[in-house]
Amino acid sequence: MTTSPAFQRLCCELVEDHYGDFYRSIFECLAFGGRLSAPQVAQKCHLPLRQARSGLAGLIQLRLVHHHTPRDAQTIYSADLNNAYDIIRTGRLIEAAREHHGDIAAQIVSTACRLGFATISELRDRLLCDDTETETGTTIEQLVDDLLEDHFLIRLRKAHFGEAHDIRRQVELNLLSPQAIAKLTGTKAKAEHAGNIEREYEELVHTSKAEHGHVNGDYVKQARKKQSNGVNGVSTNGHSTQRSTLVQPNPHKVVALAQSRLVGELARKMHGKRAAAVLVSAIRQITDPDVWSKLPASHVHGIDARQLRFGANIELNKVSDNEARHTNGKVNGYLHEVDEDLAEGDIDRELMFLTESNFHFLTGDRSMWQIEKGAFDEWVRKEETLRVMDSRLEPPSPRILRILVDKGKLEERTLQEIGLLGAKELRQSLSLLKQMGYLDLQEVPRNPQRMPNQTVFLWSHEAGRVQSLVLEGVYATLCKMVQLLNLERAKMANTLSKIEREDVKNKEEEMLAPAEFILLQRSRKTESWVWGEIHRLDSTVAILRDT
Amino acid sequence: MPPARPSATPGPSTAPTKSPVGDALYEWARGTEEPGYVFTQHELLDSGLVPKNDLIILLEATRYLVSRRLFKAHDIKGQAGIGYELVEEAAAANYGGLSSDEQMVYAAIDSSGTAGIWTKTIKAKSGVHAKVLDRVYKSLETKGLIKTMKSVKHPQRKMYIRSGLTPSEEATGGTWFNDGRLDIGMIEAVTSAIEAYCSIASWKIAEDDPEDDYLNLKRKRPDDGFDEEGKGKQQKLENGKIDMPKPKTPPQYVPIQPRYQGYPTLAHISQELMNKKITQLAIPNNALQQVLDVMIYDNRLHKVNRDARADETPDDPDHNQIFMYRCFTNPAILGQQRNRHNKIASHSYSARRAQEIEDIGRGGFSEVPCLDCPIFDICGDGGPVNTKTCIYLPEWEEKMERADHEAGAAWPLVQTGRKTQPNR
Repeated sequence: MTTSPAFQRLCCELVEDHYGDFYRSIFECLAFGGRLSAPQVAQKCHLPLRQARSGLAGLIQLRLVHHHTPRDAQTIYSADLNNAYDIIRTGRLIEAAREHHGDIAAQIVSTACRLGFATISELRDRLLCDDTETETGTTIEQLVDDLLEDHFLIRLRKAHFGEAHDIRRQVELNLLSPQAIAKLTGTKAKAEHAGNIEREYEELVHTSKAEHGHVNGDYVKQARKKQSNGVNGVSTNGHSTQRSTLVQPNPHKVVALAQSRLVGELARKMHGKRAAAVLVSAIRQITDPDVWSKLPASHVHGIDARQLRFGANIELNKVSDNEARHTNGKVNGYLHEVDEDLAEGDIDRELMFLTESNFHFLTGDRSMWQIEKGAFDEWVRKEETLRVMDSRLEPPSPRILRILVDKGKLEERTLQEIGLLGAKELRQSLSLLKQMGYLDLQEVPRNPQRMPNQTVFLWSHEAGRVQSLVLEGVYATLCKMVQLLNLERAKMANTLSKIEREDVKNKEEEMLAPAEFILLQRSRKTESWVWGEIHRLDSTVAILRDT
Repeated sequence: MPPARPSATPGPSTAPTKSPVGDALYEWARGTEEPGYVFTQHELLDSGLVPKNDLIILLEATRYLVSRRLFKAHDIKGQAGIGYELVEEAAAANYGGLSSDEQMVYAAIDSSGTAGIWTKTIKAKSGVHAKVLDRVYKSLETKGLIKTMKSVKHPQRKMYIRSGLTPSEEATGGTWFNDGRLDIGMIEAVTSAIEAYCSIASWKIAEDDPEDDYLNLKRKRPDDGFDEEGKGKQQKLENGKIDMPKPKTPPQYVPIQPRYQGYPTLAHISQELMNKKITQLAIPNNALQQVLDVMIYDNRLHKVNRDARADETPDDPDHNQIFMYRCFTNPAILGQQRNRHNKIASHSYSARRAQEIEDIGRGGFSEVPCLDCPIFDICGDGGPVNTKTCIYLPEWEEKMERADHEAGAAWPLVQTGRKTQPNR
């Protein structure tokens, strides 16, 4: 979990922006204070214990705080910064759900986001109570199933309310007592013990393994043995079991969207929209369903050809519709091919084009294609980092960066030869890149006196460190964007409170003064720009941090 | 009286002024080898010109030749003893008429060859005072024996080289350097030509589809014909009819089939540059390879491998592979980019804005002013600079407003009464 101060501040700003300053004060106390008990929280926040407890309960409901009760000890609480950050993604998640499954699905996801988590029956009841036009309860349940399958929603499990290391510790203690753990000797025994812990842990947190007989009847028996009266009560009645399944929105879906958009853009630039549609469809088969069920880096996924073709044609039609609206449909010299679906031979052809260029994670030949997960993640992170750096640099700095990424550590003289650069220009670029933190400089002295003219200076680019640096900058910028939103709202506070009145709602143009109405429009426009920038920056976070 | 013995360390003061053996040896050496060859003592003795192979006579002869600069003494690496380098008579004649200081300095410059020598190094070797050295440099330059030289590795150093020599590639920087400076114009011209050639070779023109409508930019001739008069350049044919100029359709490009083996190689590109006469002299392969590598780093070209044929020299001998170069930008797009750059150079705002949007793409990362802010690190709550007092955010809002209007947004510009921001 990231614990940079900029990230913590950003999460606190988001909590305040969405849930108010009461919840912010408790959340901030936990974010900066670490793991605390309820009395400690009450003391630090200068609140009565009763109020602190209700605040904590609210934050737990919103999935912003973890709780853990060790044996014979007080319950301790800790802030879930990642979930707090995911508040930024709720809008995009809802939009994506609308795009893929329609308005009702968007309402379902929106309700789930508002509640934090809920059972399926609660969601259905909420939607049926709303005075918007809705379908019947059965349609809502079907849509929930679709959203679960498409990973817009995920099943919530009891273990998800605690922190990962608490769950592992609990699993470890369930398997062996502390004395037995201490007595474990030999690497084989320790490895076996670690393997057992990992297996048990996955069974508790992996969202694909349903706890309610949805998928596997045998697993239900095992789950019944293990769980007593959990939040996810097990029932023999399949229908009521499904209704009582707890679900929550899956912000990790936005990560998959960000990855496929980056990959699609690059493929489109180089090979056209058909190749991009094929690649995006292939990528969708290997993206992680959620943060709890990530595929291992060594995973090599064979591409399902039928699914690939189906997904590619959908993607192609989506792109064509967009293009028909905005452009005359020519990209990189391709003819506008709106109506032609991709045949199997076309898929192979496009994939062969892709393997010949930069997409090294894609391998195979003639209907036997595969993607290596680890290589894909690394490729995506590297491309995004280069894109971010390129957008802030003037030539020839991007060239210098690419040379160092490719060659490793180099001296200035060698850089000059390889990069065909003048000495002065090179030095200026190197000092700028060093100042921005994109390059490191290592001194290798030739003698103990470390004379400068006897020292070799090596320049290098360290990808991991630069990614962290970029993320820090992005968090700080996001924080400022959220503050800017609050400032805009504060400026328009009077007008905003006016338009919330029942008699003014939806009649703003008639009820407000013209100048006030124009200012309101401008304020909304500014808000939309700021949110646009926030989402763009969030794409960078999604790829650099969550991939 | 004991016989006169020659000095162990012969120098100008003790060198003999005449030596028939020396002259004969020199003539023999000139006839046997080229100038620059280093003769060992044994080889000189084997010439048969030294009476009774007497070492003392040989020593006298070699001293005579060294003093006249016709031989240059060297330590032979890996062997005991001294070697004698044969020097051309014309080169040796340069030393004639020089003072001892001038001879020392000229010898130091001469010995450095095409690499040139730094004045500081000359001073260290010769041990001559700086003022004397300045006089010597002027005198030698006036006599046309030395000239100044620029080194790309050490542009601040004052260096000299013998007049008749061309500085080495290491010193000048190679093909891409001119007067010690990188010739950016030449590199641009060469890279543009290479990119254009590789682009044409990497794409093929799509076959015309007569069913295509406006998307293919072909105008369909209306049933009643075009308005024949007053449009475009009309040409009267011999039969009196008017020939309407056909509208120019830009060609559509599609990629060549996968696993294509015919993308340009280094040899093809070199040939193309020679045919096009982009440069006056042929570009050496190593210099061309340098430029191709730079273009790959700039994402203008992409390297593809294939197996080398029997008649080809592989670029990667370990794997027997030839490198081909392909361009992912088709010729039409390249042409558009060039036009846009030309327009930007002529200060067209719309071209500049179009280039900005293309550079940013859909990411928009750099449009937020914070990340480019020079005082980003000190911006924060409670400080002198924060979100409230930031001067760049209102500028950014105005930029977004303008961009929205260019995109045809339906809402009006509002003068909010903000004062013009002070300069940064």
